[in-house]
Amino acid sequence: MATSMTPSVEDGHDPTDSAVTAVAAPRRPLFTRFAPMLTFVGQRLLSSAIVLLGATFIVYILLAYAVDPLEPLRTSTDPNAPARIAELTAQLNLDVAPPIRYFMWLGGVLTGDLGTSVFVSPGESVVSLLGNAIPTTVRLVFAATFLAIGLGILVGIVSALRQYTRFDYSVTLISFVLFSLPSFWVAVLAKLWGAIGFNDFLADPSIQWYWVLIISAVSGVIWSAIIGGARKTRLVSGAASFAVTAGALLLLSHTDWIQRPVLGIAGVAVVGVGTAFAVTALIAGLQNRKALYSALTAAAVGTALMWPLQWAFQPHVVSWGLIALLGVSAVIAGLAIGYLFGGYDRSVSMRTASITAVVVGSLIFIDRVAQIWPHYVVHPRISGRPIRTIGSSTPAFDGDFWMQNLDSFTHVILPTVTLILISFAAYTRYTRGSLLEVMNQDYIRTARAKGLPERVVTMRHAFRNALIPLATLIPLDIAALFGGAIITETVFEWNGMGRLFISSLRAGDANPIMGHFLLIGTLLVIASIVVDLIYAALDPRIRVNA
Amino acid sequence: MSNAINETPDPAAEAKDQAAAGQGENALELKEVEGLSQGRIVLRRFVRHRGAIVATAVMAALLLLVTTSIGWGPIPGWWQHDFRSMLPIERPGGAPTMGFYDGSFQFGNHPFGQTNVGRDVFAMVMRGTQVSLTVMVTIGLLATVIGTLMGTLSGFFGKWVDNVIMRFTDMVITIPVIMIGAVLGRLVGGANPLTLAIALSFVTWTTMARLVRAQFLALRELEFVDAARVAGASNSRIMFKHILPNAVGVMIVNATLRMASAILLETALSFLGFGIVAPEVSLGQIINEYQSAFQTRPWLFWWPGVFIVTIALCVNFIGDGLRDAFDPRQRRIPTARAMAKANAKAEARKAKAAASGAA
Repeated sequence: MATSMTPSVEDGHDPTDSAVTAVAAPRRPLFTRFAPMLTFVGQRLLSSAIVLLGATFIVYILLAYAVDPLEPLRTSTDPNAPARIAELTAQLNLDVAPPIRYFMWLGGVLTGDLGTSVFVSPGESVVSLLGNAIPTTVRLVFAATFLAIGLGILVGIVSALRQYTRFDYSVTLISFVLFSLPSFWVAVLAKLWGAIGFNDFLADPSIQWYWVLIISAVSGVIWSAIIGGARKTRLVSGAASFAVTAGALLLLSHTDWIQRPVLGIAGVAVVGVGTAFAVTALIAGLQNRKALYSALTAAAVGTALMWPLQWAFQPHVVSWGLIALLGVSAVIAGLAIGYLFGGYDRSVSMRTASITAVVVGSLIFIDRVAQIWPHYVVHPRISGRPIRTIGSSTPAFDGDFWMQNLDSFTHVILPTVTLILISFAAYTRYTRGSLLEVMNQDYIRTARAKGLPERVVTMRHAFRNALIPLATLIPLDIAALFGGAIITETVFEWNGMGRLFISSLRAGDANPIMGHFLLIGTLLVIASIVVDLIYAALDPRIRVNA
Repeated sequence: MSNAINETPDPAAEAKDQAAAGQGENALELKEVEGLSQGRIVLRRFVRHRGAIVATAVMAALLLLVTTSIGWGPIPGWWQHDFRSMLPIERPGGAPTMGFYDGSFQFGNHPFGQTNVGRDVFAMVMRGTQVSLTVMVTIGLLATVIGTLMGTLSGFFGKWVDNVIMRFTDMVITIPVIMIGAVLGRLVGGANPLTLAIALSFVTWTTMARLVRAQFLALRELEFVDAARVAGASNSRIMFKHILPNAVGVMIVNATLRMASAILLETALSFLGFGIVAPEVSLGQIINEYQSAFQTRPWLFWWPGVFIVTIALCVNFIGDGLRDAFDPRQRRIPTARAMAKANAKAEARKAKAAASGAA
């Protein structure tokens, strides 16, 4: 990051052309080169600290007047009430004026003491309350945020490339509807349909013929709109996807695949080869044979490793550390395969093979999880209703590594769908706008004029630059992620950060609320500094030391 | 994140484009609007946005229904039931009387159904919509006023004024809206929608302040400001008479989109129990009160939800239409027919001018 602060233009984000490298920076002593950035970061840190102090002060004072911890005791007829009032007053310093109390609280914060909870979990320190809530929230919001970002970017790109087509208008309409959905309403609906509708469906998974027709027709329309082109192309692609979808649905309906969802080695091989072609087509273009062969090799190696891997997946061997290790080795293996195939543009083959390897690895993992699905469904604590709507895991559920993970997956799925529905529209609109903005730039016309294939123009010249504004959005979203999804957590009864906030506010327990706010406030101001740095690093037009 | 759609393009670039537009860069488009006032151009572009027009029509119909049905203030209502009164339950479980019964479509006495104690859901939803709309419009207007004031002062005076106001804005932005909304809701909330709306306006003005400030930063450097100053105009006159009208497009668009998020904020707070509480009703409060009855009485859940979505969707579409209408960067090449019409008009004007010149 630091090096890109100097006036060198990064290769991938170069708006002109990689051949026209920017004027090399004159070599200055190290300190003078970094001094402007250090001053910038220092200034930002200082002003953020002031902002954070002010914000915590505002919240503290508001809270002091909004919640009265003694309220229930004042009207109580309990003979112990006066004693309890005195005890709480002493404990929370309620006899001190709120602004002074704020500084007492701040003094505690500086020594790492965020106070203790009095109502939500009496006697427990706020630090330990937060420590329990954060992992739950991260588990809930992490997947949702990243899936929403991925999906949003994908749909946004297609929508921008097909601007002013019916597909674009439909995506616009759908994102407006999603924008206008109240999250609590969606959450309650998802809970109902997920809990009752989908579980009923899973118990007897046969798809009615009219549903097959409707879903296939929709899929045909969508794909023909995405692929676009001349009328004949659109008709062919629409008909093909209609046939494929209908076939797949009929197959699903007439076999027991939904109840025993395993891919098997054949499934992994087929999907792996498909992935290899798709990834190559997007990243390198199918005419780049070296890239295609390295991707195919990666898929083949992955499939061949499927059986040996089952040994590592035994419940007493496997752990998240091992899974992470396997993931990293998939990346490295992919890079190595691409490197070995070599050619004039090694890095492209390496990237293609690596992505393929990771996809195939994930397929093998998913297949292993799916293998225990039938056992999970008939587990006595699940009793045939696998999609769960309350909490983050089944209480008193015993099972091995795979069972436990599948259990948390079935709990996380509905809240995740809710969160994705609500947040993905924003990413779609953002990507679309940003990509359209870039596609109208002169350097894109230049790239087209010099005869580059449209894929290269879109993926290398336009898409990368369109991602810059998006990349500056993501740190803020990740910071906000720790605040928890207040409404989703409330509806699905997850004991995460959002619910901690709400239950503390209901109970009139100020310390956990302040701890919650201090944490996300700090993360947010740090994230906004990171955003500035990312912008400076990614966008060659912006200089910290200009 | 939810405001990402509300992002307005960089004002500096916008100002540049505005300047460029006059120099004939998009002369093709300008031809169509030749000789029209700014207001007419905006109106014409807005009308061209089909979604916005449909949304405006739906919104107007909805407003008419909401104001006249149970009456609002001095307006008398034609609906027979009050939203508070408990009536005998008509259909089993209080199911809606609207639907096909005895072979024909009927509205019946309780088209949206009844609650478990027999309150009329139609009247409740109407009342809830009135309350939610009040909160929405109040937040939209008040937050616009506060934000404009802050942004104007900050952008016009710059220096330490700008620094202080912007740091204060940062402080308010750092606090998540739903969080401070819940705290404020607990502080002032309860049965009065107006106090809730006023309190929420004090935390939702930040985007407006930043946008107006950015507009001012770009506009205050232009020549007409110098001209006004040389002519002896006071600071407040330059701010509010000369610069602010140029920023009005951005403000209207943002105020509209703010209203869409305001109704979602109010309903979400009421759902959590920190906004409007019983005996007053709001759309979010109805859903909150009856969410556990979802399976037995789904109509208690459906209708308020449908109204929230409809209102938010319409306001979003209107905002989008306004943005297209006010955005000077929008360069849609006019259709051949529109061009021919504009040409004919120009010819006619020229002929008329020539005729009057000759005379």
